Amino acid sequence: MATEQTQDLIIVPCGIHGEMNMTYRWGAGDFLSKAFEELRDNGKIYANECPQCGRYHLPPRKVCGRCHVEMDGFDKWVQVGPRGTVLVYTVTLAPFLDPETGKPRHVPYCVATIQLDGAPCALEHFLKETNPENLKVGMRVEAVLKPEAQRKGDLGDIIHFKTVQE
Amino acid sequence: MNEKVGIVAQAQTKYEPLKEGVDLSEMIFDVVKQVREQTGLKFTLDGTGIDSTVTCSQDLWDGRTISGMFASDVAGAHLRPEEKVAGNGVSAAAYGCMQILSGHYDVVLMVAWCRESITNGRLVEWMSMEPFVHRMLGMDFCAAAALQARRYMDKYSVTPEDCARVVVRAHSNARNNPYAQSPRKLSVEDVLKSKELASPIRELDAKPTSDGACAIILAREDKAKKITSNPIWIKGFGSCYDAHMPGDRDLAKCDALVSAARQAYKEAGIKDPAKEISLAEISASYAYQELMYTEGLGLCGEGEAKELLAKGVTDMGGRLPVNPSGGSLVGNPVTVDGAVRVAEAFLQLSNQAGARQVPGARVAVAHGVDGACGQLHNVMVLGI
Ligand SMILES: [Zn+2]
Repeated sequence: MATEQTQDLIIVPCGIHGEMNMTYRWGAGDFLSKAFEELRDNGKIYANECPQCGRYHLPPRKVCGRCHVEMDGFDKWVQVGPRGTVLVYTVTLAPFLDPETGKPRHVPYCVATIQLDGAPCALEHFLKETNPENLKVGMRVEAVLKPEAQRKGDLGDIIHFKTVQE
Repeated sequence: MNEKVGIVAQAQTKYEPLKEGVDLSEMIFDVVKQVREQTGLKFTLDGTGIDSTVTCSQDLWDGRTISGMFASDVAGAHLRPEEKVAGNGVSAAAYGCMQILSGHYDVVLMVAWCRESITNGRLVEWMSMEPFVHRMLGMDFCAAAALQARRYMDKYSVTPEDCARVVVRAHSNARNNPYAQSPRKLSVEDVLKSKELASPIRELDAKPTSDGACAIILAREDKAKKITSNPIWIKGFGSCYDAHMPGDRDLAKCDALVSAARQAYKEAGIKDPAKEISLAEISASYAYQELMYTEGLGLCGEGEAKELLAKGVTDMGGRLPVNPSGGSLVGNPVTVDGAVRVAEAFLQLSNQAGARQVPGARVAVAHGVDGACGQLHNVMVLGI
């Protein structure tokens, strides 16, 4: 996709990293907030289970879309990870803006869907490994967390998942 | 459906990577004017012309909040009704159809547009992602599709060569389509040698940046027959969402499409889509999706689309051509791509498709999709 247009008649800078800085204050809600607090304060990753159909949500969610029922507080939370299995992965080679910094992200980087041990549910996150030769569906990985003092209470508290031999 | 709604006209711009200096309004006016001239209809409030407008666009792509607003004059909504669908054109056409079936209006204009070239599309896609989880990963539709491509290709032993064949066919078909954006003479090797974007997806596997617009006019049966001698009827429609988070799904499957297709076929009275459908126009932004969606539409079994492709069944001249227009892989903008599928189905069934005509086409399926890894699917069955 084109990132800038010089051919058009009028260019109006307007956007996320343009001259107009437009911010949103989303609410994470009590479920995602608690999940991020657990990650920041205790280094733990949680999923939650629907009391009706038994499906797990990662990160925890308040409403099960399949049953359209509200979760019963925090009592169906289960700790998952830090190890897991790679279901699929992709190595991105097209330079992309890092939304956190507004600067081009260093390529290559690898994003994977990881099934964490402890419950049948999956999360997308970075893999440390980016060499296609060393990447395999089914490979075992483990979450690498930031040092406790640097954690902010967001998904970035997990730096990436590193390959582990078992 | 008991009552019948017909499509009586279509117009498309030529799709281009960059419509330099073209105002969105000019592009919209171009196609709206064409369908008005084809039908001789005016925008009226007394039931003698076009009663209502349905627009189809995305605010973030246009860079305008409630982006239907700026288009009111060119879309025929000056002191008149206009409803906007922020989705794909199949959904917008279905919404127009429902306006007629509800008895509210008799004749409806649907117009879809997008100039992907005016902004950073990867950021637009990124903005559709879950803010606390997937945005941090810098995920756009291409990276999400890459995850799905790997899962689908692993599960059904689909090779990069199979996907490359889809691209070669798309460009080959598009050479017969005057609206198509720069169709090329490609070989499988050309596709496999193109730059890797997000493994296993390469540049030529992915739809290019595209600008353009498409309009159609829908009408109640009695009026449709007066407007044209060969209206094409909407026989059935289905719509279905999948989970938003890719991690909640088995990405090898497109359950939402299977469900949407089932609804549409039931309504249209189609029992065996693989036998009864003459051609399919499928919205695919990445080559593997054209195979996956051929299966999801029930045109063959799971994992069998690559064999249909290899045997030429889905080629022009085959028993069930897929994307005679070339499809979005050669370049149709998002939101417009669904409208193009409906417009192309109309052209085929009314025997106006020129060099890309499928002889004797009687029933067509038009497919639209939205969201990362095809979260929302819309299916429309059209017939003579
Ligand atoms: Zn449930």
